[in-house]
Amino acid sequence: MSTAIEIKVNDVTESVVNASNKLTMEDHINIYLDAICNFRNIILDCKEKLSNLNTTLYDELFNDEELYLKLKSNLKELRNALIQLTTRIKKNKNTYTSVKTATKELSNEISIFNEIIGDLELKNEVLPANKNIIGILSSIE
Amino acid sequence: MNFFYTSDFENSIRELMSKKKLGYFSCKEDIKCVFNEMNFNEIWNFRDNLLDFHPYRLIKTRIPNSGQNLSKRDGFRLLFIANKYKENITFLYIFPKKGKYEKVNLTEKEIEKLIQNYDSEIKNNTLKVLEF
Repeated sequence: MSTAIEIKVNDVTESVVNASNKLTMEDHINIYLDAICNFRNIILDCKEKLSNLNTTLYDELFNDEELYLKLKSNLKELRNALIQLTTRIKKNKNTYTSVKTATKELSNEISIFNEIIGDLELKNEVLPANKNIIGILSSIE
Repeated sequence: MNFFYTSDFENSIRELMSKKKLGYFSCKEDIKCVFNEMNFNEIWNFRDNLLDFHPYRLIKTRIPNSGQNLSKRDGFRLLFIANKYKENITFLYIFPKKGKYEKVNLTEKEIEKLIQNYDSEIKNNTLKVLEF
């Protein structure tokens, strides 16, 4: 009789331990999900700020060579930092799966940013110094 | 004001329109919508000019892609030359920012080649007239 009770007590105890462990594990999962959610929000915030910067650059920097030359190294550093960030996210498979859509949105914005920097470079440095192009345009009647 | 186009432009737009499922089929209409109601000075003063070498301006402008419901920012990029003396526009190349044929940008060498071809088509009198 006492053995049967002991078995039942042990059985219940085991269930309680399992439930407690499960709770602890769920706490960990919740912490992980909160961290992922927080990270996704940080990526989206980064994308929004970059989008805003892209609009400003397109509207205000295109015809201001002096300001472009002043900001150019900062812009290139930012581009490198953004590319490094997305590369690191993509390398971390578990995290990337959870923030894939947000990362793609950021990558699209980086593509626009990259294009604007490329255009500013073409306009202010590369094309005016290209002797072939200037030569061709000079020779057209 | 007259509009012309080079064989490079013709090839680029033909490629975009070759398959409807790619989502680029609206590009002709989208270009027309941007330029149809504009006068030369409005086009000449587009802010996104890449090279100003009087009387020429090399301009890369943003065109929406109505076929994919994309804004100017995410639609097409159209490279063209405006000639202030003759008040004409020549389209050199078009590419999309999204989809199968998306490109980030044109390189210096690509632009140089497009201008070389523009020059040789002027000399050979083979630029085609574009009617909107």
